This record gives sequence, C-alpha cells and structure tokens, in this order.
Amino acid sequence: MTERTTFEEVVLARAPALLRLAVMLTGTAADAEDLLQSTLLKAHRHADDLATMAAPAAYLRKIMVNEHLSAGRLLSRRPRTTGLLDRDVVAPRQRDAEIEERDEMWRLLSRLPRQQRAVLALRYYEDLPDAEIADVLGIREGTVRSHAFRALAALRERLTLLTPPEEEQP
Amino acid sequence: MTTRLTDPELAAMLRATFADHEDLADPDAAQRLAGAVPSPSPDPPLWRRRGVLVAGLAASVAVVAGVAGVQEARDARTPAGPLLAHSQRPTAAATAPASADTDAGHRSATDVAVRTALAGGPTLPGGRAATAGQTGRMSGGSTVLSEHLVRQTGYAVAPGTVDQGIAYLRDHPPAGYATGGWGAGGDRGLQFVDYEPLSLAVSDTDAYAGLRLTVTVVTQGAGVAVRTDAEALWRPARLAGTRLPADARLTGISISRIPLDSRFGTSVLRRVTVTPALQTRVAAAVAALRPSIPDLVASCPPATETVNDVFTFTSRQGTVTVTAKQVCLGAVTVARDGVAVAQVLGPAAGLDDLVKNEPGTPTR
Repeated sequence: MTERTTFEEVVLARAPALLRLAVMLTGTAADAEDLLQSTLLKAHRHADDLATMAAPAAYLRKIMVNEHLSAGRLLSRRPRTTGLLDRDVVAPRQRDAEIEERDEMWRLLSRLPRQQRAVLALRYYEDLPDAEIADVLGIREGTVRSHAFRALAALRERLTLLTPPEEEQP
Repeated sequence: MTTRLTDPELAAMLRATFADHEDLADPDAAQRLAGAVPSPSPDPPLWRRRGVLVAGLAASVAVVAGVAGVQEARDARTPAGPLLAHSQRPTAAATAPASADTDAGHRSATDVAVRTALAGGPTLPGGRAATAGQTGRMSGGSTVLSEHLVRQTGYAVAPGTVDQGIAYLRDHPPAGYATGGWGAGGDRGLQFVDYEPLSLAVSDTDAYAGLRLTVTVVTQGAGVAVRTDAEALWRPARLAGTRLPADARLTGISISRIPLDSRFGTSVLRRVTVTPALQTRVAAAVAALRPSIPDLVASCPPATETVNDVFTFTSRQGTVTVTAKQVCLGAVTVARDGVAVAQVLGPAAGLDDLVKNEPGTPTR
C-alpha cells in the first residue's frame, strides 16, 4: 500500500466522525463543514506524518479543536450565509418535553465561550478524560476542570432560570 | 420552588443533547470534503486535482485569512483555467485585463509581500539560519495546491525541545501578526504554529489574499529544526469587461429569490428605488470589487434558495448587468448585453449592504 493511499484512507475514514465533532463545537452544519474543510487543509500540510501515525484520529481532533479555537477572530471577517439549511425547513417534528429541553440546552451551549464548549464537547461527546482534553487543548488538567466547572455552572444557572416554578398545591 | 440540576444530571442532558444533534453532521458532506483531499505525491497529472482540492477545501480559510499551500508557485505556468463551481461559472470568454492591473504585476507584488513576511518571521532564542539540507526532516513533501500560490520557505536550527519552541512561538508572534492556530502530536513529534496579519490591509490586498506564516518545529539531534513558510495567493488582474463604462447609469435594482429547485422559478421580491446618491454608492462599490482567485471556490452547505441583487446599468456601450449572489461566501458576476464576463468578483456582501434597507416596491 502506498503512502498516498494511506493518507486518503485515513482522511476518508475519519471525516464523518470529525464532522460530528465539528457540529458539537460550532453548533451549525454550515460552520461545522467550514471547520472540517480547514482542518483537512491543515492536516494535508502534514500528510506525510499523518499517513504514518499510529493514532491519526487524535491528531486530526487536535488540529480541529485548535483551528476552531483560533477561528473566532477570523470568522468575523467572512460574509454570512443567507441560504436556508435543510434542517431549517424540515417539517416540525413531534416534540416532547425532553426534546424541547435538549434544544434549549443546545441554544445555551452556543452562548458559552468557545473553550468552555470545547471542553464539554470533548468530555461529554467524545468521552475523553480530562488529561486527554488538556493535551488536545494544550492547557493544564486543572484548567480543563475549571472550564468545565464554569460551563456547567452557567448552564445550570440558565436552565434553572428557564424552569417554571412548580405550582403550589392547594 | 425550583430544583438545581446536579452535575450528573447536567452531564446526562449534555450527552443526550449532543447525541440528539448528531444528525446535523451529514456523512455524505464529510465524505465529499474528505474526497477532495489530494495525495501528497507531487506528480504533475494531479495538479488539476489539487486545484480542485483548493476549491473544495480552502474556501473558508481563503476568505477569512488565506490558504495554506504546500508548494511555491512563483514559476508561473499557464493557469489551468478557472475552477469554478457550476453555479458560479460565467458563460462567455475573457476580456483583456485593464492595462495598469496585470497578472504579472500581482504576482510580483505577492512575491515581495511573501518575502517580506518571511524576513520578519519569528526566530527561536539561540536559533540560527540553516539550509534545507541541514534540516532533512523538514524539507520536501512539496505539493502544488494552486497555480496562484506563492510560497517562500526558510530553515533554521535552535536549541531546546519542540514543546519549548512551540510555547515560545505561540507567545511571541512576529510584529504585525497574531498567533492563529497551532497543532501538535503525531508519531514524529512535529508541531506547528500559524500567524496571521493583524491588519486586513496586509493580509488581503488588490494583488493577493491570505498572507500567512506557518512555523513548523521538529526534534533534530539535541535541538530542533524549524521551517518557516510564508504564503499568499496572487489575485488575477481584474478584467476590463467587469468595469463599468464611464457613462454607465444605474437604471434598475431588483432583488430576486432563486430557488434551488428550478421548477419553482425565479421571483422578484422587490425593486429598489434608484436615487442619485444610491447610484454613486453602487458605482463606487462595483469599482472596488476584487477578482476572486479562480482556484478558490466555496464548497457550500446546501441551500434551498439564494437571493440575487441585480443592478442594471445602461451606457452607450450597451447594458451592463451586475449580479451579486448572496449565498454562502457570495459572488458577483458581470454581463454585457446579456453575455457574462468570465471572471467572478467579490465580495457580494458590500453591494447587498447598500440596497437591502433601501426603499423600493415589493412585487408580491
């Protein structure tokens, strides 16, 4: 097998999972696809290394998260998409309280600082231990816990504010 | 009384929330994006594919900050032709560039900018310049990504470890630059830091786009080898046919909805009232448009429709129609008497900003 084939295989195999992580980091399909694009572009610059790695998924994940965290300043320069996404025009689905709750949680996640959201996505979506999250983000493990604590506190506070008080029993 | 959620409850909600939104990630889109990645092999027949890669991969990066490329492209070959998405492909032949604004001039200006950026690149403490041969693991691996890419590379060696070097580089961006992203990991211990100019006037000019520096560090002997790449993409010269004739008069502005499904037909949403002041602003905005770099075409998420702002000018030379497509990264095309000029301009957002809140006549 040639190195070239290996690189292509690595990228093709990892792309769906990377796109899912990108959704968790960015919150929208459009931004996630942008993030995957820039991640793959950056990975390509180190194609020779990627093709020979024992754990390319971790490497790609690290590139993606760092690319995302560094993108805040840059995204403000780009024109915004005005087209509607498929998801925006699908018929309303049957909703129940839990779905509403998760949609509200999704909205609240979008208000968190990028690094806090990244910590939550890596911990609760990717199921990474804090030590590994620290490695991905290039920060100390204690800082990971601090970000997680603050993010959870913010979510808890906002969710509590949104919860209607229980009716008093007569 | 309200109950506060516990950490395990929040964790369970987060897991369910993330899982519930996995369907936003379209696996077909992921495969499509991944399939556009070129091989690292530099054999010439793949160059066109690599151009397509840039079209597929780099659009967002190019628009916001520039494109990472992998090979110097100063030795200008005949451009492979515009690699345009179907929806952006004009239909007519090119017109000669304006005389004061040439491809060669833009390439030259880009070369100067890239050399200047490389000269101002960061230096690790105790580092000294080296040749490519002295940093064997850092050289090579070149791949042509775009005919428009200009790259200059410098090499150095320095004492210390890769981690120390990267930490220093992250904290010490060159003057006029900000630390962008960085990456780490891999079996070879390679790490890199990107820098982007603080000023758009430096990163994105009439002559080029996407100026950036990338510094890669890898262990070599008792110290590290450092490779610095300065890159930018030169813009093609603006074709004379995309410019408004001196006597052009703005006679109409319409905002139309274009559905993805052509069965539903185009509908004009509004006709904007043209005033002398608006004509002046629109003409100035059209004059300020820049050519898009042909290799860089957005791979956009699916849209059910787009909105076009269509500006119609009349002059003794005929009718000039400027269409600003407001979808994804936007694009502006020009047609003369209904025949499209083969060059895409941008950005489209500036033109839309001029008219979106102007009074007009709704058509439905």
